[in-house]
Amino acid sequence: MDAWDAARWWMMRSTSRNEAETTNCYVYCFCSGPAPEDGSLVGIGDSKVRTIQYDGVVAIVSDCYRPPEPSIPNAVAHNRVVSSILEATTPLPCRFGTTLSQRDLEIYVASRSDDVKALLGRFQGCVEMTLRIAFSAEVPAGPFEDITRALPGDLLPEPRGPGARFLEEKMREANQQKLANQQAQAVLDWVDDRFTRLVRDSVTRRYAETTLPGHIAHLLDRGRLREYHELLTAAQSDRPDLQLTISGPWAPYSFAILDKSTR
Amino acid sequence: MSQDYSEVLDHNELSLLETLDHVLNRGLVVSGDITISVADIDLIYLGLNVILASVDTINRALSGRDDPRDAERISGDPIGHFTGNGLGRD
Repeated sequence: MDAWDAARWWMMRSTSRNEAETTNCYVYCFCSGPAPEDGSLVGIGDSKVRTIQYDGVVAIVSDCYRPPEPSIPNAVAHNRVVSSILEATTPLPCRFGTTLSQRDLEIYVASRSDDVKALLGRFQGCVEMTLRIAFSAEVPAGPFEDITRALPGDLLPEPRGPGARFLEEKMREANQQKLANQQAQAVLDWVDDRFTRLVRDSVTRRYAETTLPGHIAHLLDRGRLREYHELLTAAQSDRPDLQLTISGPWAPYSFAILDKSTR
Repeated sequence: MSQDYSEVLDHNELSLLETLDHVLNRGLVVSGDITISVADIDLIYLGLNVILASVDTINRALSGRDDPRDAERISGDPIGHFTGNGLGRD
């Protein structure tokens, strides 16, 4: 073993020993006190879930040495823990993979405790419902008929060469996408308008897909879930051309955003 | 042709995709001096991939193409959060 190999061996040994000795916290979510006392909760990798309380903010964590693999079982385990907390109170869910040392966690909560508490207060008694909107059938071709004449004839008189035909086709495609976007936005606006009176907040995401206009995440009181379903049934009845599909209740994943400007 | 999600994907798959979409693509991001990483993979990129995959699968089925890859469904142990209303079917 030469000096270089010896140095490399020492570095590898040092690294593995540090990894083995460093226990980090995998953070599932935050909630307000009192801390849920349920020792039976199992987290990622069958780890035991515990709570850490700082300044009125409870962090739901489990011990780990390194960030978990982004696998389906781990993602499901993450959500299982968050959902268990949601049964008792509305948590502030963390994105999958949030792993940090206990000291960093303390620093984070200490520096953002007011913001975290404000969000938890806003979410109190609420859940998130996700409403996905799709067209039940093929998107009506009507609006696209008017754009078959993409370029006026006086601009490109007949006979048109291959270059003109290529440009015309590209313009037609662009117009189709533009109209599809407008149609999707109109549908999303219509659906959003139907739920405005019931929900506390909403987040809309439009897809770049003609058959799937997008989804809307709704934040609403737990006690209004029945009304939400009734409103969905009525909306579906009014627009049979749409497929309205809901999932939930979720922890407010779509609303768990801390404004960086408040740091 | 009228097909809804329930006809394209069964409830377990829908539940799993919904779970992945929420867990990977949303939720509080602890930023600043604290490093977040999952096996050196950008989480946002990963989340977008999951969404695009699910949309692509739905689109392929909605367009009526008989793609053998549709049979290669994601397996897992979803937690049954999906509550599709079953409306809008033919």
